Amino acid sequence: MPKVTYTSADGDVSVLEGNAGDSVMEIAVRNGVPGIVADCGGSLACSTCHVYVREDDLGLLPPLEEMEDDMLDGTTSERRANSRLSCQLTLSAEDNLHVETPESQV
Amino acid sequence: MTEQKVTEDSVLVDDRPVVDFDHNAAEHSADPVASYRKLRAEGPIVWTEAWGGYWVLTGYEAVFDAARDDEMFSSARSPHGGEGQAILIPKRPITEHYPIDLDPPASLPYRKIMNQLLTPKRVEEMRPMVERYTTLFIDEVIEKGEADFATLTGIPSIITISWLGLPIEDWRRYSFAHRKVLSAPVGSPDYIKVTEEELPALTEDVRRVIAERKRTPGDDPISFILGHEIDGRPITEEETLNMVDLIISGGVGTVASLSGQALEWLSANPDVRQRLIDNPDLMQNAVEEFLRYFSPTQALARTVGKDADFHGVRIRKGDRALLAWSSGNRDAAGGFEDPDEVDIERMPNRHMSFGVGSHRCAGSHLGRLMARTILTQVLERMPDYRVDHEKVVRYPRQGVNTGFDQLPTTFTPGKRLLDERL
Repeated sequence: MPKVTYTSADGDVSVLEGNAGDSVMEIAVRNGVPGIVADCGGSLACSTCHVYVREDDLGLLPPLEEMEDDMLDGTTSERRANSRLSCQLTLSAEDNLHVETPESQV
Repeated sequence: MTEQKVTEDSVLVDDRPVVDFDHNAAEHSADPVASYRKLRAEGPIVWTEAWGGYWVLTGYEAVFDAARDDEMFSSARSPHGGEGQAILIPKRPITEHYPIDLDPPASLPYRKIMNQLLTPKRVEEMRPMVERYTTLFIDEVIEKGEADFATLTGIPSIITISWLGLPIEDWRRYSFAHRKVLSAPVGSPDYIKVTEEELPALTEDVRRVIAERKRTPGDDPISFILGHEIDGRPITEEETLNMVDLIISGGVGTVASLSGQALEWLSANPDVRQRLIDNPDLMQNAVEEFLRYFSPTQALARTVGKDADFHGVRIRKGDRALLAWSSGNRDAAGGFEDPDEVDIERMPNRHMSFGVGSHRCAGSHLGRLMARTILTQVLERMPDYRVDHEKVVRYPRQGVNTGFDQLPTTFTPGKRLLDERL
């Protein structure tokens, strides 16, 4: 089962497991991780599931597509080189991913 | 609110659970919350014969899933259910609105421009303007000690018109027309006046301004839109109109609906009002709860794009469907504990008041800023305001937007803050 470690801006850590095919956003929402809002439900329409991915883990991820790239320009907290929208980060069974949630999503 | 007795009065016709329901009817508008509660008890998706027949999606998960599937639930115009904009039942024959009148992928280039126009950063730059107009509106009434808070509906109107660079003196016309088209009874004199005369006239004005900006671009949203391309060619003036008209209709009535209802509720719940006065930091989360609880845009429609089994019923291509965000927002299945209670610290709060999916409100950051600013300034400057709850008048039609036509209020008079006048 894929595993995701979410660290909030305040340093709170949640380690959660999901199913293969889940996105980092879906696992967070299902478990009530407060740092991820995901208003639109995963349609690339809101930029409220923004995460900073641990540098070492960036290689595990699907590449950044144009629409996600555009939406990342509209995040509330600053965009960084390791910024992604967690709805686009679909996980495989063996994935073990570490993300930091920003101070604010809205 | 007293709990309604739920009766099993839906009947199965062919394979459809049929209910007696019309979101435009006076009976629904009298108490939309109770009306949807009754419907939810019948099922997450039910069928009514009103307006040529439509599905009503009432359950959180059904609404969420439908809004996320543009192929199964299309927003695009189509011949099904008459002429006009497909997101309303009955359809409204008005100027096309982009991107809402399109499905992905056709909608995406317009959506992209809309997103860029309304990012948190751009909205933050608008904050001084939002605060100034709100202060000016309150200045207009602060010395009198009494006001009709329904006139606060003008605040989002004047902000939207000013931001877009449209003739500022026309804000009252925009405010009136965009409120009445959604709140006056279909076929009433006000409804006919705004749909047949006023909205088309305003659209012509917008068209003229777009042509001017095309000739002489400036630093304004219309020029920004005109500077973009759609699929490798310059966006047309007509397409720009389609986007600007949507911005106006999306921004004017909704914030008015939210702030008016929140102010009325806070008057009736002085303990919560005092908590917000004492802890202004709670306002951001409180606005999210007011969004959920009041659901300013109650429901919008789609057209079924293909035959499918959906949450226990068989839907067919061409069927019309009403997605009741407001009903989903009161459904415990959405993860809301005590969904009929206001909890200004509710968290998480995955409400659907801005919609869900590819057409989710692009102006949510601006809407939130306007609502927070209005509520914050009213609480700061009129902390003891009292709504005369006996004399409030709700919109006669509350199927699309809920809100007040009259919201008479008294408060201890205060001083003007600005020298300018509206």
